[in-house]
Formats: sequence, structure tokens, C-alpha cells
Amino acid sequence: MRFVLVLLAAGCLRAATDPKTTVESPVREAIRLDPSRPDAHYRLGRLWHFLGREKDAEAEFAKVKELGKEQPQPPLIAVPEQNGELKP
Amino acid sequence: MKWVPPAVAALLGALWALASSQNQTAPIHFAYQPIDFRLDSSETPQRHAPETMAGGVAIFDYNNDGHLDIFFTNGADIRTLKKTSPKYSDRLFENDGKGHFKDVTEQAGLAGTGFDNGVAIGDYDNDGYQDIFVGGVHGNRLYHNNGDGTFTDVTHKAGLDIPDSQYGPLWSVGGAWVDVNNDGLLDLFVVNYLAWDVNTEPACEAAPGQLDYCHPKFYKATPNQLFLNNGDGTFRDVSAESGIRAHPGKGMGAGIADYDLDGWMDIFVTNDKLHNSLFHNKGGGKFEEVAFEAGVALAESGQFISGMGVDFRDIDNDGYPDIAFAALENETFPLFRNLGKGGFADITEASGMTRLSTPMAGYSPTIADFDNDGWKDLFVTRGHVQSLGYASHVQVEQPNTVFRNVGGAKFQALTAEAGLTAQPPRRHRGSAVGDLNGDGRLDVVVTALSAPAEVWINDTPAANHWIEFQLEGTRSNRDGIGARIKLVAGGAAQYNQVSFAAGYASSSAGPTHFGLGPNKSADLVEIRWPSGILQQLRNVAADRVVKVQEPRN
Repeated sequence: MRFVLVLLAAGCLRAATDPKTTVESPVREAIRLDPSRPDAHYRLGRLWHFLGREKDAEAEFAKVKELGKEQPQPPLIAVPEQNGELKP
Repeated sequence: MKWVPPAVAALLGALWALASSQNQTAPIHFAYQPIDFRLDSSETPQRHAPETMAGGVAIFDYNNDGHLDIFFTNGADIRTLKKTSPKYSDRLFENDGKGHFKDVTEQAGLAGTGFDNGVAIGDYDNDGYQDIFVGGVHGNRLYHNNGDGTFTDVTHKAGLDIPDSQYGPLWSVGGAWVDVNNDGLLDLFVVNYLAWDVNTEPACEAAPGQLDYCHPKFYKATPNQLFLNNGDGTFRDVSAESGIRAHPGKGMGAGIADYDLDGWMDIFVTNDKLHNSLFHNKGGGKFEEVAFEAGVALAESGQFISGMGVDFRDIDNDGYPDIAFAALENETFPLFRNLGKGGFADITEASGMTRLSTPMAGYSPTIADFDNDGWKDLFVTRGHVQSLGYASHVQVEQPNTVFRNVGGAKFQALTAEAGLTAQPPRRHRGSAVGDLNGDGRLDVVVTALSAPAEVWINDTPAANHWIEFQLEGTRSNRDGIGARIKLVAGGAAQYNQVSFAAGYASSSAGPTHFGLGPNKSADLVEIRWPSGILQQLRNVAADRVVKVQEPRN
């Protein structure tokens, strides 16, 4: 996964302040290796938006929104109360 | 840790507090003043989500005596959502103008009944007395200001108590009064957090047997709401037809501003561990959600972060409203610079905020010029969302911090230097800003979970001049919310707009403030009212509150 971070860093050096500087190929590769990263889809979507490729941009933004519904597990552990696993 | 006798510890603590409060060389400085209010969110070992989200506060002049008063929302029994004890009472404090606050809750009729979370101030019926919207867990309240020191609960009459047919009872953390269709009547935008039920919510363990507040991902998103003011004391739910309802989220704050200067007020909403929403007003109260296209959906990391409270005003004096919001540690307090063409750039890193705020967790950011130097600063209440039991993992209790704008949206952080360690670190929540003692320096009121509220009186050395504008709309809404003010002094221009929605769950409804630096007057003041009327004032003397009425023609 560190390689994904390196790819994203390489592709998005100044992406936060200037989306046009996003480099497509490393970001695409990062997405191929880890499609669950909202940052990669967001950066690519922002690049397409600036290049006027609105349908491509919308597709990437839609993936970000979808990922928002299923986040990685945080350090906390969920214990369903109704299963009686909860200590009093 | 080595044991220290209590008397010695108390002495050391007093010396530490004294030392921090005596540091008058800081460019911005506050002195602590107590107020008799303690936020009680009914914290239980089960760690129900609303317990950690309480704490709205408003600053406004409820009786039009020229002194800013303070209103606090408060919790309730978490299982029944009823205020089963006086300790849960919302509270209204009347300001005598000399820094003394008298509890007038009972006579005002504002004790409340439910688990109240946020507050929004606005004169929705244009009668010259500001009214109160209280957002709560599974129930909101609208209080009409009767003008005689009392309020009447008009929630039912206003049509604001109708449960959502799809989502059921909603949990509102606050709202914003804003005239979305420029008809001269304030409409109500309600920020809803997430779907919560005390009987079915998940339980989460920080460690075996130790419960803590759950990650927002375990809860369903809910839609925000927009209520259009009919002008007869009633409101119409236009959430669906306006385009707002189509974008559910986990709203934590709303900032309002006309970011593209097209004459229609827009709405930015922070969401908790989700992308933000930017509702662009297309005219007449029809909105399109453009956060992704505008570059404000996610912060510089591109990750979903814990968007908390927000403020939306021009921080670099270029005439375009910028966005600042708070988040948790390692997420920064993001800052979006408005580029003026419908887009924003993330300047968190460039402004110094990444370095300064990465270790911090915050809730309520407010943009205001605390040292009257002509550059708006950023005050952020700090504290973590997790319980005190999680303190071995993160810094749960934190001091507040003011980020001083040293010019052009470059910041330095002032905490102890600003006197803000005169009180112990706490789980701070809401905040409101206003000049409570009429000395021309903006003060701050802050709430904290299971702790006394804090009044921070601004005692920054008063070398700089200032001016405030109390607007009165005639064709526009009476509060002038949405009016854009340009001020030129000493050859430099700065901008603000009338907006009371700021921070987390809170409302700052005092006059609109400008710091003038060494200038004893403003050369030009230009007010663009929501009606479209442009009003100009020239050579306006400083160091006073200027009342401005909108021309009728």
C-alpha cells in the first residue's frame, strides 16, 4: 500500500491547489491497485473537470460518494447491542 | 506520575493560569470571565451519540437595549429526550453592558423541553426583534420574540414540527437563517446530522468492556431541510423541490455566503466523515450541489474527514467569501480560498494551517478580526469527539486557539500566548462572537461538555480602530442577512457579509465588525443589500456602531 501512496504523491504534487497539475497515469495505477481510495478518484475527477471531460469527472465523483457509504473499519470495534454482547 | 500535594498543585495551577493571563504582549489576548452555565448532555457509560454533540450558543440582543446577550442550548435525559431536571434547562443571560450577565430564562420562557443542540438567530417576521430557532434531537423549536422580554413557542403554528415521512424524527445540530429567494423574508435552513435511535444505535468499544462513541459510518445519512418563509408566521418545506433533499449527509455545520457574487445566497455544509456539500443557489431558491466541481468536497488529503463547524467569509480581503472549517487531529482545519470563478483552492498548507492544526481537534471555527488590524483571524474551539475514557489514545480535552491572520491568509497559532490556557483544557463545542462590553474588541463565548461555559473577554492592547454596522433592511430582510459590505480605509479594501451562522451549532448575531488598524475613519462603505440596492457612505468616523437603514427606493 505504500506504493499506492507514492503513486498518488507523484501524481498529485500540487493537486489540492491546482487540479490541472494532476498526472493521470500514476493516479490511474493507484486506483487499479487500491480502488477504495476516495482521494485518488477525487483527484482524477477534479482533473477531468478542469479538462472539460464532465462525464468522466462525474463518474469519478460518483465513486467517491459510493465509497463514503462504506468506510474502512476504524480502531473502535462495533458491538451490536441487540446481540447481547454489550457488557452492562 | 509523582504525587503532588493538592495545595501545592492548586498553587502551581493558579500561578500557571496567572502567568498565561498576564501575558499582555501577545497580539491577540483574552481574559477569562465565568458565567453561571454548565452544559449537561446527560453523559452515560453507554456513550449515546448525542451526548458528545451538544453545546450551541448564541450572542444576540434579545431586548434591543444595545447590549449583546447570551443564549445557551442544553441537553436532556438521553433516553427520554426530555428535560427532566432544571440542570438541562436552556439558558438566556441578559447583559447589563458592563460585563454582568443575569439569568432571565424563566421570565423569557426559554427553558426548553427536549434535547437541544444548536441555535440560529434571525428576525423571521421583520418586527425588529430577533427570534430563536433551536435545533434538537428529534425535535426543533421556533421561539417568537414578543418584544417585551418574553418569547412564545410557535413551532407548531410555523409548521416546523412535522416528522419526516421517509427518515422519521431527525437530529438537527443547528441551522441558518437566510433569504434564499430575496423576497425580504428569512428562510430557514436546518442542518441535520445522522439517523439516531437510542434503542437501536450501535455500541462501540474502545477497549474490551469500555464503550465509546461510534464512528459516523455506523449511522445512516439524513437530508438537510429548507423551509420557505410564507410571510404569515408559517413555513413551507421546500427541501425536495429546492434540490436540497437529494443530497443526504451527516451535517455538522452550515455557512452561508454568496460565493459567486451573483446576488443569491449559497450554502456550504460540512459533513462528518463524508464529502462536504456546496449548494449553489441558481436563483429563486433552486439549488444545485457543486462541491466536487468547486473543489470543496474534500480537503487536501482527499480523504473523508470529520467536518465540524464552519464559517464562510472573506479571509484574504479579495472580496470573495472563503471557507474555514474544523476537524479532528491529523485532519487539519481546512481552509478553502475562493478563486472568484466559482472554484476554490485548498490553501490549508500554504496558509500554515496544516502545520499548526494537524495535532488539534476542533469543533467551532469563527472568522473575525480580533486584533482590529484589518485582517480577519480564526478562533477555533477545541476538544475531541471521543469520551474522557479515550484519553489514553488521543488528547480529548484541549484548550481553544486563535489563529492570527498575519496578512493575506497566513496564520500563526496563539493558545497560551492569547490567555486561552487560563482555563483547563476541555471538550469545547460551540462558540459565538460579539462585542459584549462595547469596547470595540470582539469577545467569544464557548461551551464545553459537562463543564462551565467560558466567556473570553478580548483584552488585546487597543491600539487599532474599529467600526461596526447594524443594518436594518426595509425591502430586504430586516436583519440584512446576505448584505455584502465593502469598506475602504487607508487605501485598503476589506469585505464581510451579514451572516449570523458561524461555527458549530451556534449563532453570532451582533453587528458586522471591521478592524480599521490605524485609520480613524472609513473612506468608503458600500453596502449591497439582498434587494439589489447599492448604498454608499463616505468618511464614516470609527470606533462606534453605525446604524444603517436600507433606502426604501
